[in-house]
Amino acid sequence: MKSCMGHILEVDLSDGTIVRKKVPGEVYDQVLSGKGLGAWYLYKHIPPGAEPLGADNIIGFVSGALTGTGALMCGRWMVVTKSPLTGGWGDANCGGTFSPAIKQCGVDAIFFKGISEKPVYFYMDNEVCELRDASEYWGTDAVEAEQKLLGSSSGKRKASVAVIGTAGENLSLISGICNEGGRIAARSGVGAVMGSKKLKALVLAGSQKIDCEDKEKVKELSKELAAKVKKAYPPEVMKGKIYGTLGKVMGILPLSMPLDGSANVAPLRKWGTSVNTVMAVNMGDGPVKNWGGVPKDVPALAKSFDPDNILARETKKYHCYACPLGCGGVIDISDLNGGEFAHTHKPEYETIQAFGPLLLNNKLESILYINELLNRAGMDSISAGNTVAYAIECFEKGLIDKQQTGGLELKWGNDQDIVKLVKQMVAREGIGDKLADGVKKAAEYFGPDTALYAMHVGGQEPGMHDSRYDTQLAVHYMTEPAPGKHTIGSGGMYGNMALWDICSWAPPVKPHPKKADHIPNEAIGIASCATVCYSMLVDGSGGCYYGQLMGVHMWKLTDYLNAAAGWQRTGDEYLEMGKRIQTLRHMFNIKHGIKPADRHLPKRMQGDPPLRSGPLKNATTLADAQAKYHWQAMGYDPETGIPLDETIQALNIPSLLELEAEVIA
Amino acid sequence: MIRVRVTAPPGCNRSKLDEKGWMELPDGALLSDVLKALRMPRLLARLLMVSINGAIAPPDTKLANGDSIAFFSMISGG
Repeated sequence: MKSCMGHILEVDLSDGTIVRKKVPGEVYDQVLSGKGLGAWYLYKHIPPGAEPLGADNIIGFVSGALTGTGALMCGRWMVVTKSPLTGGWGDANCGGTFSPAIKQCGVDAIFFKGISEKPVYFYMDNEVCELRDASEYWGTDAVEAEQKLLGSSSGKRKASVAVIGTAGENLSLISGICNEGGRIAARSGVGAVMGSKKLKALVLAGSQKIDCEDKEKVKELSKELAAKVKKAYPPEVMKGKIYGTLGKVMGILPLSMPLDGSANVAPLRKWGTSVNTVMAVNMGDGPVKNWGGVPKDVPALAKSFDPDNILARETKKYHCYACPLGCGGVIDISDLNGGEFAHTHKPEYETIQAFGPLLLNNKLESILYINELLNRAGMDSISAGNTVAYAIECFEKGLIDKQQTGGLELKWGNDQDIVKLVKQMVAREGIGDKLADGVKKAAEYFGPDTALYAMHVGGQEPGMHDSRYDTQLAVHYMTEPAPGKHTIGSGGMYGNMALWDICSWAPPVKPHPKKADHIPNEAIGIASCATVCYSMLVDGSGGCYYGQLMGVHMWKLTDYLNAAAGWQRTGDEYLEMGKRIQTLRHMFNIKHGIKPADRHLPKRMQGDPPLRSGPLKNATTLADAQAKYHWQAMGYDPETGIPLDETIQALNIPSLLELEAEVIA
Repeated sequence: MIRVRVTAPPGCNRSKLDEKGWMELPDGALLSDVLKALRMPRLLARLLMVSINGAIAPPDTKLANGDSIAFFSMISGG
């Protein structure tokens, strides 16, 4: 595949050796790059029983098959590893500038194994490739360390840095890896793996050319998309509050309807994902009060989380590499906490929801401050928010007392003590030490009575989207090899993408009663299967979730891939490729002792007991039953979730796994 | 003839849409032609922020082959 560099690096941190290898072209032909290349490599090289924080684990930084080709919204980098949070497949991804930087160093991926004796960072440009002493950076936060490391680069172009903060150094199981001043590949505890290897950062400053087959066609597709995106911006008079009202209407409507992903572009350009908060709570998508509350529990919801409040602080827009959308932004927070931080990346919906309505905390300023604390520490705000919610509920119910909290009053909405708790989690001090590894570990420490309030799936805390609202989402939370992730799929996402226009077997969506979505059936199983297959294609390409959400008519991923690779593949063939990637990730889990059917949603997330009011009144999700249809559509055993041998054979996985990368002298 | 994709809200007349939500229209057709076919009042369409390829559009906007017509959005994720 011409758009891939064809090489990988293997770095052994125990002895400092660095080996360049050539990857057989068939690997890219079958699983692209990104998560696909990562799954192929990790399946082959991490032995069963490897400790996630041990020397045998491998952590890989992988670019996308379309990154750097001129394709828009294809600049995400993937981190792949065995997760210390779940014990199975782990991955996280992030935008920024790091994905093209990997390829500009002449490789598609850099894999690290072993453990260094002292803190190191990896440096690479066109001439130099080496491990360097990182002692002076160890103990500094991700933003500060990145700034210092940028100064250490001697390459021709400005370097790009992926770096852990103190959370990763402290082996917090909910820590991630940062880039571009606090943007974070947050999930699966990938930061702890880097910390366990004493690997502080990667600094990449190569300037090699990234090629592809049909540059003109790629350019044409990008021009078409950019023109559409440019036109899509809300009128100045339009206020963010309208989305909250729409959410209320959608919460009341008894009907579920397909929504066109193209309509996401305008609000994302203006407000970013913060526009979602009030709408999500009002319609039932945004969890409240540790998943046990309803919209009316959130004090002054609409006023407190009006997206225009955040927009008013924005000093500049932020675009990831090759992105016409620019849903990010930098906001001024110099007025908070005595000017401790001048600015922060505009908080994402997930962060606002996790430290806002989920905690009944309506002090937006505290959330902006926490956003920067977590970005600098390199801690996952989704996992951290769920964990704080757990701690508050346990405190309120008397299961954790004031002695255990060190005097903190962990009450719903007590923003001051929430901030103190986050600081303790980041520093692993006091009760924060027990909470810095997420809710599953916390519940093991604080006792089985508290487990009822620990929201996690297979060890990972769920995204800020309610499984009772969307059964497909519930199924993805459970069946995804890196469970609890909200970006794999949902019913809403399926409608947005309109996959039926590129895939012969994906069923179209029409308006239908909401109740019908909660009755397990084959059509929903096929839809969730199509979604996950497409999501893997996106991740193999380095694609952005918001490109994916625009729908196949706006962001023409398969056309981009055909142009970049010189292929003439159909949508059906591409989804088969996505299924291959997903199945490899499943096989990784099975190899490492994970039983897919053992992963369930917490009872509360299934609607047991049901909520007694609000948009999710009496809503339940029969996710276990629906998962069987999902697995059946994937070609897996519907009872165990294990891929059938005939499926593995049909996907050519055995021959794929026989391929080896060759050492280059 | 042109084909446009229409994500129609509940209550609309869907008889002019095919199984996958596409509508055929003569060359030079306007957004208002789609609204008529859906039997959707213009005021309601404005309230629902009717858009073409993500850009909020007035009813007299000329349509092009492959355009995507939507009524409002729900963002997920972040």
